[in-house]
Amino acid sequence: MFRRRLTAMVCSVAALGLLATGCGGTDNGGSAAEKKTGEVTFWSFVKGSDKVAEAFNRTHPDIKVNFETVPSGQEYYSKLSNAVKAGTVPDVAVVEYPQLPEFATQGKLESLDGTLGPLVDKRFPQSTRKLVQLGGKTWGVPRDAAPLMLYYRNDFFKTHKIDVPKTWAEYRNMTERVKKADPKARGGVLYTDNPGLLSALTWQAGSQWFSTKKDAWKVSLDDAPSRKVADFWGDLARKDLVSSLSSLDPFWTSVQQNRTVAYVCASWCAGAQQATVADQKGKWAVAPVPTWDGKPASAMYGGSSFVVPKGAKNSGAAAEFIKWITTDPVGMKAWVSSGTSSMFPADPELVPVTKSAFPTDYFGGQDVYAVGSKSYDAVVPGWTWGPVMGTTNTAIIDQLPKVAEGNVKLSDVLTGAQKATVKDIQHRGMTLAP
Amino acid sequence: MASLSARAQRRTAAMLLAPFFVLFSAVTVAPLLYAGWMSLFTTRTSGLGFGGTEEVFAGLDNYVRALSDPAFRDGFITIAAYVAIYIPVMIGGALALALLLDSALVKARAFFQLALFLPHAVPGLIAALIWVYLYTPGLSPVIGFLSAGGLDISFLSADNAVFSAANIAVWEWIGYNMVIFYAALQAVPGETLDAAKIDGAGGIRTALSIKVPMIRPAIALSVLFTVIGSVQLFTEPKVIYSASSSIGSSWTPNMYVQAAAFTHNDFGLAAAASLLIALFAAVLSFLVTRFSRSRSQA
Repeated sequence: MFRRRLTAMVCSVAALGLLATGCGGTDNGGSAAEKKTGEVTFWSFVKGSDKVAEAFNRTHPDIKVNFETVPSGQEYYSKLSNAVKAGTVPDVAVVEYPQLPEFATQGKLESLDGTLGPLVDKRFPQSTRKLVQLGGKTWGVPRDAAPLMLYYRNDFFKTHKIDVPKTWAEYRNMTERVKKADPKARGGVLYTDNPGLLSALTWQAGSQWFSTKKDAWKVSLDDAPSRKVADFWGDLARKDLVSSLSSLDPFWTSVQQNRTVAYVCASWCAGAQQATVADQKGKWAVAPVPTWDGKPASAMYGGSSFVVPKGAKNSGAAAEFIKWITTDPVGMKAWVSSGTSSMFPADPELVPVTKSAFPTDYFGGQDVYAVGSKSYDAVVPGWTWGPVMGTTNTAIIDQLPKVAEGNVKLSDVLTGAQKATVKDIQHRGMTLAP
Repeated sequence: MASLSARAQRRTAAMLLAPFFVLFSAVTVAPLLYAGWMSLFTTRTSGLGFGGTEEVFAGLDNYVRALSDPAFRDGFITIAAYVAIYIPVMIGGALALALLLDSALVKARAFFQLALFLPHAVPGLIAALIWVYLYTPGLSPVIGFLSAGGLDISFLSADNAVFSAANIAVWEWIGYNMVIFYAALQAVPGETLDAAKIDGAGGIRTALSIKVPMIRPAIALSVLFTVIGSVQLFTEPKVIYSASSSIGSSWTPNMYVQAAAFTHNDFGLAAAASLLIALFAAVLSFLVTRFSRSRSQA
């Protein structure tokens, strides 16, 4: 309160001296949003960001984008958050879908209603729009979707005559057969450090961890579909039918050493798999993610959007840049120009652009993007991320390793995260639906 | 004349002290005051939260929340367990090594001194990264070797993390403290040692009854610094956490503060908790000083 008054005071003093720069102004867009020239600072950690900035600068002489590479993960979000506090924000920044509502509810993003809102309405499917449009406003523009797929070792499955599972019951069966065929190999993984895949699997099962009812948040991390998924994976982990590993080096090492022969991941894993385990070329294949009832259903694990942080100085040019890198075919092509990214565009019309840039020989000529497209179409609509995902995710991550150790049930982990989330939402003064 | 030179002297003293006080106020006092100020506020929003936020005066609410949070309190239990393992092993080990170096038994004294001190030259973060590599199953040659011998140890599990963290710290600090003790031992007068020898004291007896009591102030100082350092335990467990989250994001009080500020975006709580940690460390160092002084006077 005091600080606000202080700012107001400083501003009025400045106004007296006819130096009214930077006071008031930024909220309502105004002239800054209309201006489409000048310099744009761009923060991103996703692959190809440097290429896309270069390509934009080549084709847009009026705007100069200065790309700054940033670390990924929690450190980045702290950095961005602190930049808003310190008034040193970039004009464009990447924010992954799960983190977007938290930034928006903390007043750290400019609303894009007046600039890119109509574009988002027009170009993206409803399930994706719901990730960036919250509280009736548009906060970010989707770049990529990350529909789920099943990755498996074709050679291993063929040798041991294992069928590719279509339902989760068959999946369980598959993990048992994999372990029997090779006691060191596993047909899946429960990450010990990353709740993203788990939440995607509950999403696919029809859970809605977060939803809004009028002016209130509804939190249901431990609803029935969510518990079903947690019990299923918790049991697989406890019985050692899937391995429990960190999603970073230990996971990829296990793939390299033939200890992981199947796993569920998003579309982007195709590129990661190809780059990290190059010598298993031709051995892998993809299939639709298994479902509970055999009918197509999917969800997203990852994916990113681009935002204009609060206090950005050149939001007009920023909007131009964001528009180009998310919905322009030339911009989309620049993202994947290195040929190593299997990024799946959130705008379905741009799929042919990325598809043509991704070599298929690693997956034995299989059309990875066709599987991705089907999965994207089947994403269960209605999912929204919550306003305190830092708290929600940490509450899950802190307990995940204990599931494999057998000390904690995975569904109880979700119940604990539910409590921590509700408490934090209340503390921040937001309304909770009964 | 005399008063003038006294004034000149005072001016010189002020000039020489000024840089210290300027830096001290800028990097210690000012942040403390700012943290104190911040600890009285909390960020609030309303409804769905998309209408912006405001800073609201919260009184002592952040302090109450920190103290009533089991996660924060458990951090101090972690520290207690860590100190109970770390201090005896590290101080005892450093003392034993210093006494060995000081005895006539050791050849190549300078080499051992350097070799034992070397780990301390490695920055704490790098040290933690190296050790976590050795602790990570699937990557570590040590774990591979042990499990080939039928021994499966999980260095990163919640139960063993105290030992794993203490182990890193011992490796880092034992040589440093050994050098301090060794230097103190050089100050033990030769005639005292000669007298002990004439009275028939052997090497071990001399070490325990003469040398150790005479360097007690140095030991007390090391214990004090180590205890305060332990309260601030952060780097090693943070790196362990990044490899396996089973210890939890708030395993030590400083980790709790970091999570509050940068994961939960709760700067008021983080400020209040840091001030509580500072207070705890101040009280603890007071007690350790009192305790060791009364012991050395006795």
